[in-house]
Amino acid sequence: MRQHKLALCKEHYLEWIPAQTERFIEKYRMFTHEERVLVAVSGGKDSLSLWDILWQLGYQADGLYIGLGIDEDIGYSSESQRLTEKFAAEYRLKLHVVDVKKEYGKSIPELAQGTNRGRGKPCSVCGLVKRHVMNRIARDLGYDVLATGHNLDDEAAVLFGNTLTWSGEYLLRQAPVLAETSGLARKVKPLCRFYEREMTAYALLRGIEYIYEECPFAIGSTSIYYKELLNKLENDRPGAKLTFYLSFLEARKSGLFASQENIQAELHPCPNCGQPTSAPGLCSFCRMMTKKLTAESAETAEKK
Amino acid sequence: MVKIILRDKEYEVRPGMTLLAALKKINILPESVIATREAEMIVEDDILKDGDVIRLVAVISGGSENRYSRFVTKHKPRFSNIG
Repeated sequence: MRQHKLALCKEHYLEWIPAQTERFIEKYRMFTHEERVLVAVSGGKDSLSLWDILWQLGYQADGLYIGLGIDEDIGYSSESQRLTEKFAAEYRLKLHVVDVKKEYGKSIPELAQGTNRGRGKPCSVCGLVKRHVMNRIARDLGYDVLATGHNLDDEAAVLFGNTLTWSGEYLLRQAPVLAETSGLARKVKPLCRFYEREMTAYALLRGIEYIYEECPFAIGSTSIYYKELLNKLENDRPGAKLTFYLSFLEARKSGLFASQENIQAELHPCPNCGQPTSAPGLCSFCRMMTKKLTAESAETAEKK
Repeated sequence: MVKIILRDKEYEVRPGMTLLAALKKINILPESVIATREAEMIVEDDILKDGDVIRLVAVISGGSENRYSRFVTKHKPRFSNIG
């Protein structure tokens, strides 16, 4: 780990990652041992490792798997669900499964068809549905906090993208902890200071079986492109990604941006689902579902 | 020779060089992979021996709950010049 000027053997590495995670949880006041944590688990290396670490640290962490119905030629969703359920069974952990198609009548690729979001790629619809479901389950089942497995490379890539266009609104919302507000569960990212490479090493050394294949729709995505660019920078300047992200957090803390409270004050509850939305009226998720239903009704009437 | 495998691609390098040198030779960023030999992780300073089969695990995954600005999601960058 050139960025830390640190070399560890397997045994100490497997101790170091959970110890550091606990330090970040405490440093950013993410949650306590008394609180119930819902971990969003995708079957990938980061989320399964996060669940594993929280379990080792003795937190009350249950899992949430969202079945997206992305199978294409490789059975991506079914395989990631199988691996997640296998992990939960092995550790005897509680896992909630929400199947998007069963719940909303359509899979993610089907929902994405005909919407303007993403223009043929379902990633935008996928993100919207996942955010909605994660928040709904966390609220409905009384969890104190929702934890995701975002690592430093994820965070640095998003920061890079939003800095390129100075998207102030998005920059303001990027933090290791997004505080709970009316209708919105607290969101935390305990792995936000670990490199993606460090998390891969952890999963491999711990023997965690994760889905190695990439989501077929993520191939060629902007996030991967930015990660590759940042890795080139990291290669020449070890520690550059960490410095980029930590300097941003420091700038936020010292008041470079408006406070999070000012942003939250502008949120309105969606009249349909109750989740907060930035503009009065239906939230993006309910707007998308309403449009879909209206289009389908019109199509059925036309056929008759 | 040393065989290096990354997903469905195979490369060959001469034995005697370090993993770091081999990765540079085949134009793979060390930051983007983890290398294993006989299912054991190896580090950048390790010398590759004749007959070694090195399997590289790609570390980058895509998809993120965080949002980019609308500009970025609508205007995809070009990928043709990325090595």
